[in-house]
Parts: sequence; C-alpha cells; structure tokens
Amino acid sequence: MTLTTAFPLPVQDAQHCFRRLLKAMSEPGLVVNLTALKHGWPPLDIATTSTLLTLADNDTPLWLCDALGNDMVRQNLRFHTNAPLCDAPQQAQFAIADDSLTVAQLNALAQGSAAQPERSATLVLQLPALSGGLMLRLTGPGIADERMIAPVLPEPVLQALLERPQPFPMGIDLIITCGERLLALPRTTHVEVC
Amino acid sequence: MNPQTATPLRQRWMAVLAHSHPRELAERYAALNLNPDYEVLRQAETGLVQIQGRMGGSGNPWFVGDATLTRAAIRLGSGVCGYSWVLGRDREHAERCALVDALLQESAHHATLMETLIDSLEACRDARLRERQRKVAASRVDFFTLVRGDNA
Repeated sequence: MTLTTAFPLPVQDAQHCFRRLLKAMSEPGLVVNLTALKHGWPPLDIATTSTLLTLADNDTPLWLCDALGNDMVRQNLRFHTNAPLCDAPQQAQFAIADDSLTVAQLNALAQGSAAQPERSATLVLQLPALSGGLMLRLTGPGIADERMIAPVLPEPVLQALLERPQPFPMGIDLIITCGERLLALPRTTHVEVC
Repeated sequence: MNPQTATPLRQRWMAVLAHSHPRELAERYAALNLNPDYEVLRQAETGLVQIQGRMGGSGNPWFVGDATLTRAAIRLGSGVCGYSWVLGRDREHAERCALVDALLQESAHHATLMETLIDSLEACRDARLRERQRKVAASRVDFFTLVRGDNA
C-alpha cells in the first residue's frame, strides 16, 4: 500500500492554492509558490500535486503521461481527489505531462469548440527548470507591458505556443510547474521568441 | 497474504468497531496504553450515506433514507493503512476506529487487541442487544382466538 498524505488542512490549503493558481492564471508568466505540502507524490512535484489536489475532482477526467503515471500516483489520485483516470489524452480535462510529451499526445488534447471553449483541456507540464531555456516575450491580457520567461520547454509545446494552431477562444491552457513553483500561460497570452 | 488480515476476520473486527460505543472503545483503548506513531491520510469527515431497504424483507430494493456517517483513514509508521466508517458525527471515534483497524493488521498487536478490545466490545454489544430484546419481550402480547362452539 503506497497511500500517502495530502493537504494537512484540506479546506484551507485547497483554498489557498486555488487563490495562488488564480493569481498565476490572471497574470500569465508570474511565478507563484505553492507551499502547503511538505512533499509531492514522486515523481510529481509539490506544485503539480497541489494543483491536482486543488482542481481535480470526480467531474474532471485526468490523463497522466507514462513517465509520471506510476502506481503510487494513481492510487493517491483516486483516494484523495476521486478523479477518473483515462487512458487516452482525448478524454482528459487535465493532462499531466513532463518534457517527454509528444506532438501526437499534445494534438490529441481537447481544444474545445467556438461554442463551448470551456471543453478544452488544461495541460499541467512538469519541467526540471523554469529558467535557462529560450527567452520568451509574453504579451496579452493580465500583462501591463510585457513579461519575459525562459522555461526549458519541450519542442512540441514551444511550437504550439508560438503558432497557436487553434483560433481564440479555442486552445489549451498551460500550467508549468517545477518543484514548488508554478506559472501559467492561458490561451489568451501571445508568446514570441526574442 | 497475512492470515491476520484475511477478509472474514477483518470483516468481523470492522463490524465490531462500527457498532462500538464511542465511550466504551475510548476507555478500553486508553487502558491499553498504546502510543503508535501514525499520520492521518484523510481527516475524519462527516457525510451522508443512503440506506437501502427491501420491501417485505426480501423484495425490491428501495431507499429508506440517509444516515449520518463519519469516515477516516490513517497510516501507521510501518505503512499499514487503517480505515473506518462509523455512524454518527464523532470524529475522534472515527479516527480511533481507523487506528485500531491498522493496529489489528500488525502481528505485534493483533492477538492482544483481539482479546482485550474486539472480544470485549462484541460482548458489550451482545449485552446491549439482549437487554433490548428482554425489554421488548416483557411487553409481548400473544394473540389467540378461542374455538367457537358453532363450528364444530
């Protein structure tokens, strides 16, 4: 049995994390810290685990990439969040992946439709570092002037961000996590290499 | 699989714990003076369960109504998990039941707890049930009809 603990104060900690996620989503590129947990569920980081504990419930199918979806993570997700785990990325509302994400998997995620943009998936991408990659300039809603970030993004994700293959309001929202830190790139954010 | 965690045996102690009286369990558990190292997987939380009945005792199922239930899950330092579902809203009792469930799965405590806790709690419950049966039986009325002469 590999069950482990979740938030020490389930209600308050989830509300606190939700507020931090809201801050990250409304100010794209801003790094927030999620510190309610002492440890994540390996190989999930603290920020990834906190995000799932906060957002996932029995209405949100989850898809885990092979590298992150071990038995312990699956058992804990079932026990603590009650979320259904799906095998195909097409059905997922939240997709959890690391830098091994392939083009096919990324394209398979739900993009929503013009009439129902809320049906699109949110991709939680766990990376080894939030800096040291290609310097990206962010503009758009929630950013006063411009904001610079440099995460080491996998190639398919970088291409998707630069090209935005789906016209607004369709497209996926991206949450990038590393350790206990997290930043978000919603579909409204315009990304360019500088 | 460890014979001490075999399903029928575990079902028995889970049933005894679920039917136990909070005060009776607390007194007996405190007397044992165990202080195991454990962490709470799921804080004791209160909710509702739907209770199913059957028409006439064996017919179609239907929902009698909701009952208040408190559940908890804990994990001992050794990694053994214990669970509990108890009626009512006594959170400490639910956590204590989960702890006893986990300790019963460990060979070090199994025999002691079965003898001092489970057997004794089961005896308490039997005594409560017998007492109630006795009170109900005291007001029992047997109806009978005298044979009337004109049928003969």
